[in-house]
Amino acid sequence: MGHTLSNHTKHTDFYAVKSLKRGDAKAFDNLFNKYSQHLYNFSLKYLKSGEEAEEVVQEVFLYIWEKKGGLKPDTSFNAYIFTIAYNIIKKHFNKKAKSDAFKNDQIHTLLKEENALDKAIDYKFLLEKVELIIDSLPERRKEIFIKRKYHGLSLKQIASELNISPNTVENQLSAAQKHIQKELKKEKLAGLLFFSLFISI
Amino acid sequence: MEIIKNKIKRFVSGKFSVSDLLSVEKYFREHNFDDSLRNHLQEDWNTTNKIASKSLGHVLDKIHHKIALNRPVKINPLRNLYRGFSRIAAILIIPLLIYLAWDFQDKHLIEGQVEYAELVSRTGVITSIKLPDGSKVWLNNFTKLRYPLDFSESREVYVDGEAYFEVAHRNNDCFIVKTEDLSVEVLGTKFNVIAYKEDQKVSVVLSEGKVKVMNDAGSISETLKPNEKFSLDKLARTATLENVISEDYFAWRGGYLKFREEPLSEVVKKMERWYNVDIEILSDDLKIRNYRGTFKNEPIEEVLRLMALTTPMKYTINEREITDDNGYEKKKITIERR
Repeated sequence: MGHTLSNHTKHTDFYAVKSLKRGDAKAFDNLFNKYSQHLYNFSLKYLKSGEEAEEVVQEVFLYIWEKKGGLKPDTSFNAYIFTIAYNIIKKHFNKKAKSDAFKNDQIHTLLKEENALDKAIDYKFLLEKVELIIDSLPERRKEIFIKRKYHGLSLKQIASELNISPNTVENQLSAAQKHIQKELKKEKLAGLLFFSLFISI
Repeated sequence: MEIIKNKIKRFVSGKFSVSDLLSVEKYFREHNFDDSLRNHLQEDWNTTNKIASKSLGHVLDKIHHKIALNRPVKINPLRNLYRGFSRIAAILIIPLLIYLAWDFQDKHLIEGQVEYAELVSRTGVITSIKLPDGSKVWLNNFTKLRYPLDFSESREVYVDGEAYFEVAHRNNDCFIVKTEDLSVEVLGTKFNVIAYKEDQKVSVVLSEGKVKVMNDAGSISETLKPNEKFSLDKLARTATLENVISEDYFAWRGGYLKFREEPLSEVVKKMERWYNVDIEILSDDLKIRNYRGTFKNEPIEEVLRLMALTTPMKYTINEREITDDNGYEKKKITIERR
């Protein structure tokens, strides 16, 4: 790392952070302009969604503003912003992993059968594919499926909400499950694999 | 526990396997990987590029907005009552506004053989209409549009105010927008015209296609490319061409009041039309101070409060005066240096 550069960076942040601590909105804007892009690019790497990366930028800077009174101008602002970003990205990542869990299971099942768990694959495409397939389910089946897998309702809850028997709910769910796997298998897996030099661990 | 760096690196690169993904999810989820994960991300943070890949100005606007909303406000009970009441009042007023929006002067005029229709959008509501040839027009506040009822001969319309056009393509037929000082000639395209009679400046901003801007005397003739803004200073008789982000100039169609590093003197002019108020800036140095911000559905009090946060200004909202015929005058607002 270039020492002159990092010294210089520290120096300019020192005054900006000091002003921000006093509540100077202009200093806040300057720090935003300096760090927001870096933060956006970084978040994008892990969240893989521009929208979510923007949310991270917003949350991080709102946090900085709210806690501005406790800022320490002498310590590195760069390190401070990373710490906040890390925690917020982690929160977003886990939330997303949870909501994608079902789709991941579907992909997992498919790739396991094909013996492709360790192959680098166009994952984003597969996720979108699963979504499309779910979306193409017959209306009623889709409704039941979403209530179960996304909202986490029990068979009983769904049955009473829709005024049908729990048995029907179960049948609909397993039909949906079969349909998704059948449709997924139609994708030519070979075309989704990356030709890559680092396939195994 | 230590993370396997290559797994995370592959995940970041986008070329990863399902096993990679499951591991990375585990690293993020389980606490005993936290130190190792954090160290790795810290390294990655330091090597992440800072190159602008996306404009984030709107995120800053949103933050400004939220900061202002979260500021604790001291409310006395009376004021609370008033706030509750004003909310009810707002609900009642909305249908009224919708009704008023239809209160255009919809006149048919006959000049020579050609019959014209004239629309005037008066209130703080944005109006859109479809012309006989399928072209669409959005009218900003206080804008007058005149067009021939029969479009088969020529497609020539007249604008006083601000309007956004999406011109339908028709063979090689030109569509002409006339203002008091300029005419804009187009084939099929999207653009914005700002030409209030009382303003010193007239501008045309192009978002798609190609337009030609001319003055009556024929001394000016410019062809615009997308994201270019042409302005004419009526007094100085000078024309300028600059690159802009054209969407900023169309935001009003979606109900956004948007300022992009504009001098306060221009900002208050937009606000006057938007809210139907009079605003006076008492300090000259404020007039040339640039302001940036985006507002949607905010009452003017809120907009002023937000502006005062980032600008060294204070403002006074004066009580409305009652005119001789028992009407109310426009709200008057003064802005001065803080």
